[in-house]
Amino acid sequence: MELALSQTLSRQALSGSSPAWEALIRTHDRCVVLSLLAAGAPPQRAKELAHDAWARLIEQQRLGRLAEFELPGLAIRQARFLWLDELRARARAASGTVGEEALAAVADAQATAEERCLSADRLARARGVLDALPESSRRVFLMIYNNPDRPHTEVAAQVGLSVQRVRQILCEVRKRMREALEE
Amino acid sequence: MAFHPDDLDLYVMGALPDERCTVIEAHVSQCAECAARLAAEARLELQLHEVAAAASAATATTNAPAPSPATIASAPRRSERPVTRRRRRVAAWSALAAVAAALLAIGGARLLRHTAPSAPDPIVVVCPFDDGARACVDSARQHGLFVQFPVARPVPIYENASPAAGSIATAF
Repeated sequence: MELALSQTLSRQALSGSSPAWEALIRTHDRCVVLSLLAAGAPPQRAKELAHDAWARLIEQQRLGRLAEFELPGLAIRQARFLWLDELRARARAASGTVGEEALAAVADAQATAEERCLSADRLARARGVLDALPESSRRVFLMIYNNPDRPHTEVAAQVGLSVQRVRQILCEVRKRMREALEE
Repeated sequence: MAFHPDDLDLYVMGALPDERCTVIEAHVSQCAECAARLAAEARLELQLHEVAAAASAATATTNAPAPSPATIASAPRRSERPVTRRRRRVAAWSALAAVAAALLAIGGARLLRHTAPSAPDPIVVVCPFDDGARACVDSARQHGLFVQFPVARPVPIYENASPAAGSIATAF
């Protein structure tokens, strides 16, 4: 989503616009769900927690407790907090108290979630992969990953490729990136 | 495994139809190995967003040719998903928007009294009132969240709250 449009929608959402909230949720929800999956949440639970996180942000806005916010970061933090709290609750239910082992498991889950922030070194390796891609592949990659709510069909039509070819490109780029980031 | 290995890539990219998503979700709920793979693919997906954002920022700085976000944002949209899935998603978001509208209507008067707060009231997230309260509060604050009744007062225990949007009024 264009930065200016995102900022406009954020302002409208802060003033209580339901359509603005809906647009922001549609744009950023997948990243929120992905962050929960990355932290080990089961898919269905990840969707539920993401929904809960959005509902809570809307509630906070209604209560006048959001002066400003950045997305998807705030929604991701809210959702991840809910997931970690659920892990704590499970640990308590299992042992009666929150023991060191359970807290360590929660900390591990949190650390895993934080791994999405790449180090400068890994970012540079990924950038090397990106620069080495054919122009058409790089263009497809940037169009898709800079616009998470944009349908692949739309990107395919714009670049003049089939949807299958676009997804093949994405899978190839993912494979190269995975290798580069895991080195 | 009940699905093709590449399906996990497509799943995290949001490129699978509903029926294949259902197969994957059912499988990973029973298979720890595939659940771990799914988590890894989700992490990679987030990292790729980060890579793309960094690349575009660098490109913008050097004024090199790149896909224009403005052009992309203003382009007409078409769905890649089956109609049923799109309808379901629209229905889900419509329901959430309806909740938002109801909350806004109910709290409209109060909202007006809170317009443009210069300093946000640090009260939002609830923490359990037990041995884990301190860690919960610390964690919430580290993540930039607001905490309701930080310590020493009874709080609505979060894990008892239903994830359904309609229950949020009782959770805060």
